[in-house]
Amino acid sequence: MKSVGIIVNPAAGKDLRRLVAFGSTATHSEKINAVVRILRALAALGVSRVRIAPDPTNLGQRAIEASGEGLESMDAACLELPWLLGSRSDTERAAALMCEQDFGCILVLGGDGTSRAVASHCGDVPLIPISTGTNNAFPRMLEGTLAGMAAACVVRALAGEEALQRAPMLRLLADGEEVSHALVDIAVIDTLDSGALAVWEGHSIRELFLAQARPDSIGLSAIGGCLTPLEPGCGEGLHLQLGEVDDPGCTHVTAPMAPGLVVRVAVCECLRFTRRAAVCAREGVFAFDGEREMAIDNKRRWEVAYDPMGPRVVNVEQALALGIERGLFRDEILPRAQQQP
Amino acid sequence: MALGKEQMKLLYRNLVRADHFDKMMMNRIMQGKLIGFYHPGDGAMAAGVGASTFLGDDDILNPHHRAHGLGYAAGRGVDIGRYLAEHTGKVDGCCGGRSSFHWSFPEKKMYGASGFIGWHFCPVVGWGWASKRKGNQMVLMASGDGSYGQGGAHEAMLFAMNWKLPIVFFCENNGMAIHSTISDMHPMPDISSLAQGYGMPAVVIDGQDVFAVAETVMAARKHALAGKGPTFVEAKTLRLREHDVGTPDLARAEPREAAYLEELKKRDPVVLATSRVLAEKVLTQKQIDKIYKDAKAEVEQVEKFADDSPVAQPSIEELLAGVYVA
Repeated sequence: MKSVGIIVNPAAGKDLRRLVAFGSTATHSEKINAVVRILRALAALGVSRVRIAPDPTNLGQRAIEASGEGLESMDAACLELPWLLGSRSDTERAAALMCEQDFGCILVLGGDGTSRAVASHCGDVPLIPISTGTNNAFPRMLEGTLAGMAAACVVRALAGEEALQRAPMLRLLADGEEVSHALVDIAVIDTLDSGALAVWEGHSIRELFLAQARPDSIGLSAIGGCLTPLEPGCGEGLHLQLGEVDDPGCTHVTAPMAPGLVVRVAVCECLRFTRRAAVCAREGVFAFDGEREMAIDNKRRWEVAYDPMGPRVVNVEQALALGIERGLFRDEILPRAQQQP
Repeated sequence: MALGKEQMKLLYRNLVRADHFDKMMMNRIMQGKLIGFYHPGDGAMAAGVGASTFLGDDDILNPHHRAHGLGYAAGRGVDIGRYLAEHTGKVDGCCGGRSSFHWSFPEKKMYGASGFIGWHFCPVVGWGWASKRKGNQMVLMASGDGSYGQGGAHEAMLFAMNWKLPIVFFCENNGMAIHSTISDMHPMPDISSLAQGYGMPAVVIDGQDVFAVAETVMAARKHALAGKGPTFVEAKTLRLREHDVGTPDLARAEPREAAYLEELKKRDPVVLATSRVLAEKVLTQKQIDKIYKDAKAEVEQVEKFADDSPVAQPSIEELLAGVYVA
């Protein structure tokens, strides 16, 4: 049986948007509780080996210690990494190691940015992204116990390819070469610096490329979701150009940019694309999955490519349904014994 | 709210200056040219610079003790010549050469430090109350993770929240309190989780990123000035050296590994900021070289000022005049 990995971003759900918007805070204790619930579900369903990515706050070890009785049959420990820097590289190195060791499934607790960091290093290992971040277009709000049960279905080979799906992603190309990527959105922000990373001001967005646009998501992709949603699996991305909010020539869209922050933005142009779309802006900063990261070099030719073959993601509902169908949760002897007077 | 180009340049310049000043203090204490002691800020200067550079002139600033508040002093525009003269016991020191580490600079609304970590929480409530009454003024209360073990921290957060005082509790969390690790001192590694217990908006940011710190504190200041009450900003930082010069660099009773400390240097805020300003074309290498040259010249100027200043030899009357009796 393959191992299950758990990666928790201790910093997710704590950024500036607690001040400039109304984001809730995912506390350490709540993250530990979520991991405890995952561990207990994995152990209850016979998973033999679990490794948790280490972090400087020792969250994984705390969760193992807090899990109480019931984990004896499972080898649960923190992954060994030589150094922890308290930065994104810790997450990336843990994901790469789990990929190298051929893990069967990785549960990722964080926001869009955390999933992006994992997806870029996990290869084809299936992911279960669980939201503990602020803007959650990629990860979903999932109860840890159920997520753990779904992961057990996957690694015990009861839910195979039929419970997995490829998520689309976006690749940013400079002069035809990939320089970065995003799972949900790439935005051009009218600012000079990446500052505290988060994007929350609608008027600062100049251009938006979306791999998904759902009406029930929050963040930058919600602008597309509230204008013209992309059907899952449609094989197309969305390219929006935004203008000044008082421009009467634009279509005005009201969308949830951040928790409690529903803003009105002006969309000048909206196009679907299947392969590549050119970046029109010549200055500003690129934001990947809602985090400002890289300045535009106006000497280069920038494009965004839509890739339908992004990371493999577990369909939790489907995985659980297959687990039920194939008897993982059923004990044939116990109910009969209970029926005897 | 996002920073403009000139703001980024100023932050970078202040960060480089603060880093040079910290290295100056290290050199001097090793040469026996400081009175008292020194708590090096190597690798941890971004938090103070970012937090203080864009405060208003009327805002009250309580600096953190690491690097004896040098990051905050550089950001605030304190005369570093008088700061160094103070640390060398000279008459031109900002407190007449009598305080060393426990300096104050009332002209910049920085009202002193104490050897007792955590002393400042309760005075901060008073400053916050005064700021609220006065309006258009707030308090930045900087301290480390260790100080939140003091009872006064909790009293201050309670009162600040109940009275909606314009205070930003700014915590530099480097995960170490002298020789103790944060896991020995706090049940949860995020100090901001304490503030959440009081219903205070709390954020955690990368304290190595001077731009992220500045942007966050600007937002927190706006929140305070809008009458929305206190906020808590936790800047995760690190400690590259011993707690103070002369004390062994231990985590619990064990020396911290040299290889680990070497790895941490990749997170040096000057290194990170330099790569950012170059990548984002805020500064050219030539402009950066000029900033370094200017910082070096400023250090020479500051040292000359302090060295030329006479040794303070206050009379009994002068000393007594500096004693406050209630």
